[in-house]
Amino acid sequence: MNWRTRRELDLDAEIQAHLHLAAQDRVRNGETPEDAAISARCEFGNATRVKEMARDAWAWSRLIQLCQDFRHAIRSLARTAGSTAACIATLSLGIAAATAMFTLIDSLLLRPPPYPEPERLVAIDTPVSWGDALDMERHATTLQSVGIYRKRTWGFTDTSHAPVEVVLAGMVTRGFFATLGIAPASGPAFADRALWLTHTFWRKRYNAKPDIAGAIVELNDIAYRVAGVLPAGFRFPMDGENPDVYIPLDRTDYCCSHDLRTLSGIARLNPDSSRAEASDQISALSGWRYNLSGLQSGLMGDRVRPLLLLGLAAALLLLVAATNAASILLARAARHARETALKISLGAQWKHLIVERALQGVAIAAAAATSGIVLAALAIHAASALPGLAESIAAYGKIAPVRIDGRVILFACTVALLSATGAALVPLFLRRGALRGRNFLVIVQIALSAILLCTGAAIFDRLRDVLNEDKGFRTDRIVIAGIGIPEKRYDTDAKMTGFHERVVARLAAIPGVTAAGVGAGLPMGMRTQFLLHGQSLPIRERPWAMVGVASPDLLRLLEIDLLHGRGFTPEDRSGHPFVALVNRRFAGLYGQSPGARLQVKFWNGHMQPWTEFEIVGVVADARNRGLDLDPEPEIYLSAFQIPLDGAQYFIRTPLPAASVTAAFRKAVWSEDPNLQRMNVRPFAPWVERDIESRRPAIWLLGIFAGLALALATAGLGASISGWVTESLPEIGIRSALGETSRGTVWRVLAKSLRIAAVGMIAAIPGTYVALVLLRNRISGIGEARPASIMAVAVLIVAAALVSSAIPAYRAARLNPMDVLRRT
Amino acid sequence: MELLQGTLDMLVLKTLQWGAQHGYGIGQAIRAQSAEVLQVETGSLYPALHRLEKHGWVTSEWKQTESNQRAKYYKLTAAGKKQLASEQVRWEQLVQAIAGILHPPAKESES
Repeated sequence: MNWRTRRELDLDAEIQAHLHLAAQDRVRNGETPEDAAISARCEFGNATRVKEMARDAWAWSRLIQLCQDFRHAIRSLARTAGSTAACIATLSLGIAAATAMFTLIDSLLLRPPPYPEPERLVAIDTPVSWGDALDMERHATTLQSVGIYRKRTWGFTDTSHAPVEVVLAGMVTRGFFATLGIAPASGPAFADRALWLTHTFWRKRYNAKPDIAGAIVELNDIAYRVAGVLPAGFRFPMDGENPDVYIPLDRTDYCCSHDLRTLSGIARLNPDSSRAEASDQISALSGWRYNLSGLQSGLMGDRVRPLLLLGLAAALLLLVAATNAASILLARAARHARETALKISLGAQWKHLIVERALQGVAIAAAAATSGIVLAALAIHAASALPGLAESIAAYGKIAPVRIDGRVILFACTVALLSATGAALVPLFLRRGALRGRNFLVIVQIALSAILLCTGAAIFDRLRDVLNEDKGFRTDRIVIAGIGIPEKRYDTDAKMTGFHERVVARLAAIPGVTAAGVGAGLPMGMRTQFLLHGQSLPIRERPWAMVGVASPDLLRLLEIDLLHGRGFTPEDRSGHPFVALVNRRFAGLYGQSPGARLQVKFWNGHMQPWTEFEIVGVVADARNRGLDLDPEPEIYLSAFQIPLDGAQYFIRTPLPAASVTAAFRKAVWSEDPNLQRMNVRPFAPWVERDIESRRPAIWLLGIFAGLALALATAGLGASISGWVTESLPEIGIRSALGETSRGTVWRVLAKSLRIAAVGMIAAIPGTYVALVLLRNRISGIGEARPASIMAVAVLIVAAALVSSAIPAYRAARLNPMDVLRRT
Repeated sequence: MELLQGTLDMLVLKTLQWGAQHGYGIGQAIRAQSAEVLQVETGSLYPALHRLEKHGWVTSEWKQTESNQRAKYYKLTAAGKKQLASEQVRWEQLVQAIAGILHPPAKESES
């Protein structure tokens, strides 16, 4: 006999003894033995309850009780397998969405970057100049080291005679590696013309050949000595791309102006300095506002906010799922109301009921967390294969490996535990009005779904608007290809401009091509400072404008119309007076017209910055900063005057890109066979790529909103069905008194529509707040069109009708006599 | 009249001061000594006895009653006596404090 059973028997015997003694007393006072036994029992009260409470006093019993309660909870869940399964399914959906989004957010933002003491690493938010960086390195006491970098593509060749390979090089200063705390694996110190291979590139290109250090390779025909291979796993995404090789930042090109802020910067804080202190100090040092952010979010840049938005959407979906689970459990509790009442009357304590419900929550949480994690893993895997999302996932993968690890599992379990126990306990507190409670939960679900749908619609509307609006330039029937030419062979400005001029002539001669041009920074891209003639301003205060370089036919090809003066002609070449065009906004803002002169800082090759140009014409405005941003003042320079080592060719042709690719490449190779293969592609998707990158977010938001609506619909259907079951007697009486079945159907549908309407009304303030808040924070959120809002409303009404169709049919088919007989 | 929260333990210990007693007897004793004012619920009495036993303030033993019936007798331990003493002191302080509030000593008039 174990300890516990002995204790139980002892307690039983003690209570029996009590009853006997009490009865004896009563017999002594003259009652009959029968009466005395009954009275003693009555006086004693609820024996089960007394036992329960006595047991609580035992030290061990709590744990044992908990095990027993848990067993009981699982048994009771198993008895109602249907609602348990529904509850687990809905929760797993919500948990899967939340877990998948957390996996992304954790991998990309929360996990520390893979460098020593990552918490001291910071990214400088705005572009920085080499001069300022040097000042910071020397004088900022808050910083231990500063590194600057810039990425650039090069044509990579070596002694193997393999064709030119386009590689991305990280051009960095000595402080870059020092800041990250990465000692390049081997090789001599940081020297000019030294080159480090990343581990990945070393394995890919050289098959991890061990004696690579010291080998000579060429970037755009300039020789570099391989100084070593960087450690495996080293990654540093520069604007979303990981370089293949690293070289020192070229001093002649970039050193050491204070005003040329074109470089990116990172820094390592001194152990006891804060980010804010350091920001203030470097800003004071350089007379320019620099802000510091954590390295990881600094590297993520604009990608952070859409990610957080989706995280929020997933959280809302989880809330809908938890509410749905709560309403399922509430319905279950309503069906078991009698059982619960019986338990209480038999001496079950309120406390135990709560524990039992909480334990049911734990059991459901365990199941939902498991299936939620599996679902999340599957979803991430599936998304990598889905055309709309694969590219985004791949792009994220370049920044940091996206994987489910212990942290993610811990997150999923916590979320599951909170949502499931929450859902399991809600019915206890809504016990009084189960049906009203369910309606309330359904209203919450509908409102949350409506908020999600409207937010998605607002983003989608904005995207559609941007794509349909007049951009100020044409994108159709244009094919483009980008090229870089090595400065070593093209070492004079005339060689560069001459090359482009000849290639453009060859491109224009391709059959089916109606126009050809070359340019840089078109239609969107670069910025420069400038100075109007006769003005004198310190460099820091000189105004900024967009700048684009275009060959004579290019603006016509893009249909950026000439308004006054003349366009570029083939005569605007090197050796001739420097000329410029400005857009209408520039002309209006600065009061400039043809004939005026201005100095432009933008330069390339051997030209000098702040060269003077004469404005010869004014052209129409085109979106030049972003597809969804208004045009800014812009200066256009002539491509045959400004030497371009990197440029983009444009041809206008009705033919598809694929059919002109070969001819396109041949035109370039017949000028110079040693250039890299060009990526020939249609113009429109290339222009729209930034905007289009919002599509995955819209997709995901749409999926989340759709799932939320599906759950809400199921919840509404179940609630209406419960209402019909409960009001069967009423329906029977009504139909016996002559209500037609059409009337019954209408009453059920109206009930459902009323709930949906309340849900939609409840969603209005939420949607309004969501849109206003998001519009200020995330580009690409516009005002939702009334038509879209209507569409969301129609969708929800349709969902309400669909969900209540079956209960309505059931109510209409009811035989009144059946019901009346039963009641 | 219901017992004040926390006083049951003290009353049980006090009752046991006169000798070992079983649960029913304790209940009856408290009732009789309070002139039938205090009713001890069995749902409070037995948990209290088990709690006191767990703390080591009482021990229990099955014995024969005078009417030759088996019953579980509880007996005060040395630790229980100490506990009773300290609870009694605390209780008296409490009673005095409450009495002080309910019947304040007459204040001297200020004007």
